[in-house]
Amino acid sequence: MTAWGRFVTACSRQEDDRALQAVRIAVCCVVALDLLRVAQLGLVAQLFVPYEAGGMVGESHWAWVFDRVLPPAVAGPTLWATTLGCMVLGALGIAARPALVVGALAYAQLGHLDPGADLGIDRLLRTVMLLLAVGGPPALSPWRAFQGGAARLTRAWPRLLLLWVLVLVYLSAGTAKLVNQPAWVVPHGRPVLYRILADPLAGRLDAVAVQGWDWLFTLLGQGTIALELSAPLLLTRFAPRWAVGAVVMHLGIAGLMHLGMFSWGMLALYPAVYAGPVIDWLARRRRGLG
Amino acid sequence: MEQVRAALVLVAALLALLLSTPGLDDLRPNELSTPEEQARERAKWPGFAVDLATAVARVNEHVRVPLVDALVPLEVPFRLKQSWSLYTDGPKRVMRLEVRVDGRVVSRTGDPDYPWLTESLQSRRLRAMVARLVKEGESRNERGLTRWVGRRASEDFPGCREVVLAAMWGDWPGEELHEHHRFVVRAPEWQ
Repeated sequence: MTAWGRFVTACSRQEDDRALQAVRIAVCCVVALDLLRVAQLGLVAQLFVPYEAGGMVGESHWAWVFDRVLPPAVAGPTLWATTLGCMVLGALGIAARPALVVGALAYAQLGHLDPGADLGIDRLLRTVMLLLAVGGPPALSPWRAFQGGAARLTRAWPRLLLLWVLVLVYLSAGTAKLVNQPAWVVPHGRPVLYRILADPLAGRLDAVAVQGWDWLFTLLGQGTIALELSAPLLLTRFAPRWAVGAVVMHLGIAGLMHLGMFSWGMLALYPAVYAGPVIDWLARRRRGLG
Repeated sequence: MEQVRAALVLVAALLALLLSTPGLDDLRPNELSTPEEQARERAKWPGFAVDLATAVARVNEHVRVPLVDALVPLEVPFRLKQSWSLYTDGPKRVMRLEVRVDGRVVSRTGDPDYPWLTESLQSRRLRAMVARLVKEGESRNERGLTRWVGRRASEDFPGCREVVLAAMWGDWPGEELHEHHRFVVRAPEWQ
């Protein structure tokens, strides 16, 4: 079979839809919890309101247009509530496709309102929302998606495209690290990972307490680069093994840094890798028990 | 139908690759464009590597960047810019934000002895603002952030008159920090 033939077959292959159901539910939950955290801290009327209207936002992107629809003091909070509502609907599988599109649009407007607070993970999760809205299987509620019974099938291409985006994310992150700072792999001065994890503005480690552990930070830094540059393995049968390293890395970031939903947002995409093997394992176990 | 679907998937994958080409997505368009810049790199790297990097930079400038620019209208509505140069380096110095209310230290980044407001200041969306304020001495949100801290101080320390947000810098591991720059807001406007 030609390479093109194999590609067509891979895109059209039917597979269990629970991988993408799980990604949708997890992504929506992570974004919703991130927005609720803003409310818990009492920051909705600050982070999403321009300075002149009493909030914090100094400069917005030219594409911030929602203040032409509603007064500036309520436009941002309205978008916050809209995004949150859409994420809840998306997670519950109620009108999920329009909810994902409208949610991504409202979420993007919040990013245009305050570009400094809209980070890489926000852009990645919006990309995934749109991918699921266009190509995801018919959305089901969490309890219907994972109840027993015959598997519902969906085409493989949206999951493959999601894995491709993840490969690009990790490869870009790895090459940018190497280009900007070769000390990631060639020890020179204080290890880069030490300076990241012990940076009081982002990390949780005590810079004084861990300063004698340069060898460990150097090793972990080299491991990070090796992991990121080997991300194309995500497109092979070795994906579940590669993803063990990635999951450990994201859990490490979650525990050692103040990056909020970054790690959880990344981990929300991993059902795309793990759902297949987990479903197979559960099926084998059930047959064994039967 | 399957062929058409696969073709569309291939186009989407190629677009994603174009928008976030690893190694090129965070390059300046005019990277390595001047003889001085190239000479500086030749002092650090083998000549063939600099020649190769220069050729790649020109392809990026004349082919990839114009195509990416043409796709901006597609990216903007959903704010989907595909650029993933995440955490390329750590800071060269230790930096903390110190908040003083009427001269008394009440908050210091990463210092459990001075915890006032740190939960909010280290939350995901505020953290980036605080980091910019401390590292760069200015931020697009600096007026809003300092006013908010002032207002919160007036709620938690009734009657206070002045709040100082001081950027404390020092060499690693940061046992001794000095004030690099500061922002002062005063009651009742906190501006």
